[in-house]
This record gives sequence, C-alpha cells and structure tokens, in this order.
Amino acid sequence: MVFGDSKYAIEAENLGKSYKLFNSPAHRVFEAASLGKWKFHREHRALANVSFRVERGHALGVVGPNGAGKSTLLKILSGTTDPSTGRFRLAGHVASLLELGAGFHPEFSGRENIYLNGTLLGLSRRELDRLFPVMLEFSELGEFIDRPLRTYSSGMALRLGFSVAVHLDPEVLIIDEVFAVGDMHFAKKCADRVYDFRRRGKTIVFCSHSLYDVRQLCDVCIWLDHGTVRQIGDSVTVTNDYAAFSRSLDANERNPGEWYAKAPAREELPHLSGIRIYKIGTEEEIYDIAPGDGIDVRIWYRNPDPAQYKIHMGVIFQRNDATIVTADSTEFSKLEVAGAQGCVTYRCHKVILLSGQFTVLGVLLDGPGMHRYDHAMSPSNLNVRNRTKDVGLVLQQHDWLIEPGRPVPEPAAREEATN
Amino acid sequence: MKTGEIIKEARPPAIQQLRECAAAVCTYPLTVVRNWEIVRNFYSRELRSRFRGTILGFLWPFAQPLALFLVYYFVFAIILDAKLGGIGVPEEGQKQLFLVYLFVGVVVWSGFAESILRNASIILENANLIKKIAFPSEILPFNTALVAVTIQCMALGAYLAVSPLLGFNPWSYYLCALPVLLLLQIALSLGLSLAVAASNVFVRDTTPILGIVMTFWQFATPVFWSPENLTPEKRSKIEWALEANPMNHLLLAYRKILVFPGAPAGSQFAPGWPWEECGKASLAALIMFVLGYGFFFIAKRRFSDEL
Repeated sequence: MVFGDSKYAIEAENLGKSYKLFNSPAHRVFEAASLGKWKFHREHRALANVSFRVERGHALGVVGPNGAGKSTLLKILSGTTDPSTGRFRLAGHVASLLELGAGFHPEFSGRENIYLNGTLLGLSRRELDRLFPVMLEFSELGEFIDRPLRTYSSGMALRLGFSVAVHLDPEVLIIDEVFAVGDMHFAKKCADRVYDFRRRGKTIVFCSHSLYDVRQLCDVCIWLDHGTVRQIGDSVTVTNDYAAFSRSLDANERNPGEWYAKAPAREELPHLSGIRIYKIGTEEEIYDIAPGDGIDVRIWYRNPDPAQYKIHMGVIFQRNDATIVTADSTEFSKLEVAGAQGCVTYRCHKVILLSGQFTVLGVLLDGPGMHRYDHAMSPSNLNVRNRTKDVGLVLQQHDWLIEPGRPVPEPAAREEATN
Repeated sequence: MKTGEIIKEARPPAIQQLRECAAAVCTYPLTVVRNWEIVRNFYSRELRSRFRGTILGFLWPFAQPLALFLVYYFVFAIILDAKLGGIGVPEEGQKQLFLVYLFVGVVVWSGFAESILRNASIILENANLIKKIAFPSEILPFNTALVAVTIQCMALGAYLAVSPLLGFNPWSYYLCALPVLLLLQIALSLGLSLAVAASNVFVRDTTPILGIVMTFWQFATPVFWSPENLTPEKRSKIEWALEANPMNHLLLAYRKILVFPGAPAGSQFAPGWPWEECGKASLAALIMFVLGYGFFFIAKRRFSDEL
C-alpha cells in the first residue's frame, strides 16, 4: 500500500490507541521518576490495527457497539488526540463536529457565541461577518440572537451550535452522531446540509448508531468491535451484517427458547423428532438466505395414538429480540396432520424477512390448537441478509405510483368533530 | 506535502520530537499571531465576564489592588512604621515615598501572581475545548497573562492619573519604557504558567504547591520591604537571592520609572532607563520560557487523554 496517494482523502495505517491507567496519581509520579523502569500502569487498548482508505468525495461510515473505539478513531482523525501506533493522512483542512457549541458561554449573547465558536472552529473574522446572516437565518433564532445564551431553551442552544457547525467548509468533515438530535424540521435542515456537502465532492467520516443514515450517506463503512476492525467494505453489506450481528447479541440476553418452557417430551404423547430448513424443493439445508429466497421448513413428528390425539403443526418465526414476526398452523388452514409419524413441510416461496437472525420453531399443538404437546427449534438460526437498502423487519409487496401529470384530487380536509 | 495536508504519525523518534519541540518554542509568538482571532475573542470574553453581573463592574480592577494596598499599608507603614530610607530622601518624604513604593510593588506583584495562579487550572477548566476540538491550548496562558496585565494597567493608569493631585509627579519620558516592562512581565509569567498548567493536568497537587511557592516568592521579593533599608551585612547575605530573583529586577525596573522620578542620583532607585534590570529579567524569562513551554509541548500530546 502506497502511503500518500492523492486519490485518497484519508489514509490510515495501523492506527491504534492505548491509554495508561494509573490507580493513583502518585503512581504516575513514581513511574516518571524511575524513567519508566517501574511500571505502575495498566494498559487499556481502545483501538488497534485500524487501516483504511477513503477516496476523495466518498463518505466513510463507522459503526459498532458502544465502547468499540468509534469515538477514539474520530478523535484521532480530528486531531484532538494522538495515535499510539500507526499513522494517517488527511488531504486538507479538517473540521470535526464532535461537539456542538464548543466554548459557548451562557452569559453572552447568541451573536457573541457564534463568533467565538466560529473562531474556535477555524473561521476568520471576515468569513464570520459574511456567514453570520446565513447562520442567523439557519438557526431561526430571530431577535433571540442578541439575548444571553442562558435565556435559550436547550433546543435553541442546539440550533445555535448547529448553525455554526453546518456552515464550515472543510475538505474533510468528521461527524459524531450529533445530527441525531433536534426537532424533526431542524434535523432535516442539518441533514440536507451534510448531503449537500457530500454532493460538492467533499469527504465525510460519519459515525452513527442509525444504520439507516450510514447506509444512505456513506459509500464505505467500517465495523469496529473491541477496538479492531471487524469488517470493512461497502456500506450496505457492512451495515446489514452489523444489523444481523447486533440482533443476535440481543438474543443472547433473551433466549427465545426459554419463552416456551419445555416439558420433557413423553414417548406416549405426540412429540417432534426434528426440524430443518432446506432450500425450496431441494435436499440442501440452508440457514443463510437473502430476502426473496424460497425455503422449506420440515418438521418431523410422531403420534403414538392418532386415534386418541388429534394434532396440528405450527411454525413460528421469531426475531431474536423475542418479537414474533409470523406464525401459522395447520389448524388455521383447517388441515389435518394424520398418521403415527411423518413430516410436515412449511413451504415459503419467497421470504420477505429483512436482515436479521430468526429462530424458527416448530410447535405441535392439540386438536383445537390450545395445548402444545411439544416444540422444536431449528438447529441453527435463520440468517437473513439483504443486499438492498430496505430497512425494517419485512419487505412488503408494493408498487410506487408517481403521477405528476394526472391530477389526483387532494383529500378533503377531515372535519373536526363538533359538539 | 500539499497545502493543508495533515500527516500524523504515532510516537515519532525522540530526535524528531525534540526538533518539533524546539521549533514550537521558537515560533511561539507566531502561534499567538496566527491564533490572534481566538486570543482576541477569549480576551474580550474573559475581561467582560470577569466582572459581569457585579454592581461595581469595572471598578473592581481598581478596588482589588486598592484593598490589598490598604492592608499592607496598615501593617507595614502604620504598625511597623516602615519608611524608605537609605536613598537620601528627606525624612518627611520617606513615608510618602514608601506608600508609592508599596503601591507599585503590590499592583505589579498581584498582576504577576494572578496570571500564574489562574493559569494553573487553565487547561483543566478548558478540558471541553481541548478534548473536543483541535485547539491550540498553548495560547490560553498567554491570554490569561494578557488579561492580568490589562487589569494591572488600569490600576497603574489610575495611579498615574491621581498621583499629581497627591503632590508628586511620576510623569516623565521614562514612562515610554512601560510597554517594554509589561511585555517582559508577560514573558516572565508565561514560562512558569505553561509549566504549572501542564503539570496540573497530571498531578493535581500542583495548585496547592504553587500557592505555597508563590507566597514564599512574594516575601522573598522586595514587594513590601526594601533592600535599601537593610544593614550592609544583612544585605550582602541576601544579595545573591535578590540577584537571582527575576521579579526583583522587574519590580526595580517598574519602580525606577514609576516611583522615583526626581529621587537623588546614586540611589538604587534613581530615575533612569531600566535596561540593565530588563536585561537580567529577560534572560530569566527566556530560560523559564524555554523550559516551561518545552515541558508543556511534550505534555500537550497527552492532554486529551488525561482530562
């Protein structure tokens, strides 16, 4: 890898950051006094071996759970902290919005605070004079601009901070989550500014818990986990994989199996002997699929006394946070499950689930569908990964009808209930 | 390297760090100039916020040193009956001269001490800025020193304005040296300020230690006593301490141009250009600045991790 290629706006090589933790301030003095011969610190690695490159005009997303090192990475790139290992290059002036309203002082007016904040973020006085009317209009603060900041509501102070931040014009913009706050109308305005920035060919590093935003804004994405790169690639793939992974994390906390307390199956009662998922119409077991694929869920049952016990088969698709996504049973469809043993297939021609991990349960019910004799869980979770930008739980069948030429009458206003 | 390109490497070799450090020390004035907009904003904010919301408002810069002065005056001139002897001033003028001598000493020392004591916590107070934005933290101590000197100038200005009414005239062309002395004072406080500001980030005991050190220093400096009043034996014993104390030279310089225009020639305080004192003080300022800022610069890398 050639370092210093002008094609890239950001190049990072082996970036790492570790902190020295001292139990007491005296230990630091001892260590310094012994010129490092005595070690009193523990090392905390916040980031290790992070390498990536971002082309000019592209946007890099950073995702990962809390404590994965996202903020550390952003702090290193924005220059507020130095890396412990590795190196990086940024092609041009960088502005980082790690915090809004840096240097805001409650006793001063909004106007004075804009000037101070703008100066700290690298704007000259002349630029500020030019931008001030624009910022004022953007902030929608009106005459409040000349009142002290302490009289502002928190939303107003936030708007003031935003209005400075979004008018910076660096080569590389680093954004940490901040755009997630604010009222809808204002958040939209800010998002518009960021997209606009992107359209003008500037480079963005964007860290957010909103995978939707990352997917929409970014071309490439890094998934950080425990300070290391877990995955790096195009943002749709990475965010989808990350979404599937974090749902499985949730699952570990709430084991869906427990939800159905399992009584030991008794040989003399109807019970299940297995459940597997196959690629539709084949003998090939499959647990990693994409939306639109077809699957067969096969459930094997035994019924020692078909004359005495009427049985029905149910299938439950449950997301790992214990949400039941869909469930059906032969009882709903007025079918009959006959015989002393056999196999029931739940054939799904087109899976409409979106990214996530799903537990598939087979449930053996009694005649009226009230009592559960037994249940079985598929040997492995069904992993769905979408390759599209669709968001949510399921891919609903739909069409878009856009009819600019045909005047569809606007709906009549609903009449308010009058007493 | 193209304009504006930023390259940062972890743990550059020691020799490179040293070179960067030396470059930073040499270009400190340039750093201040480059960030002048920030200094200006902080400066006006600090000055206005200091007394905002108080009833006396801008009278406070005068009231504080005046109150201090009155305390010292009560203790030294009234209770201890201190006079300024040994410089050939007639008996009746000694008391009055001591009053002026004391006033200048108190105003300058409190300006100097305030800038250092305030700077001890300046990095901690601005932790938010340093952690969240790439911020030239080394200009903060300069800003504090500038504010302290401004307030001190107000008090000195009041002195210059009022003293003719009290019957003596400190106005002379030697006053032209005043800006030089003010700059020198900033330089002198800067080195120490940078050092304590940085050390306080790692060892919070710096503030109380500094309080003790500053008190010692204040009494070791002729703020409210005069070496002229000492017996020759005593004086020769402490001569080295006075010689090594940059604040002694600085105060002497201030007093030369502010207190004794018209004092008899041949005395230590005879009016004149204070260049010799300035020279000694600048040498000390330079050494302290190089050491203090050198330490600050090395420590600065770790600020955002420690705050």
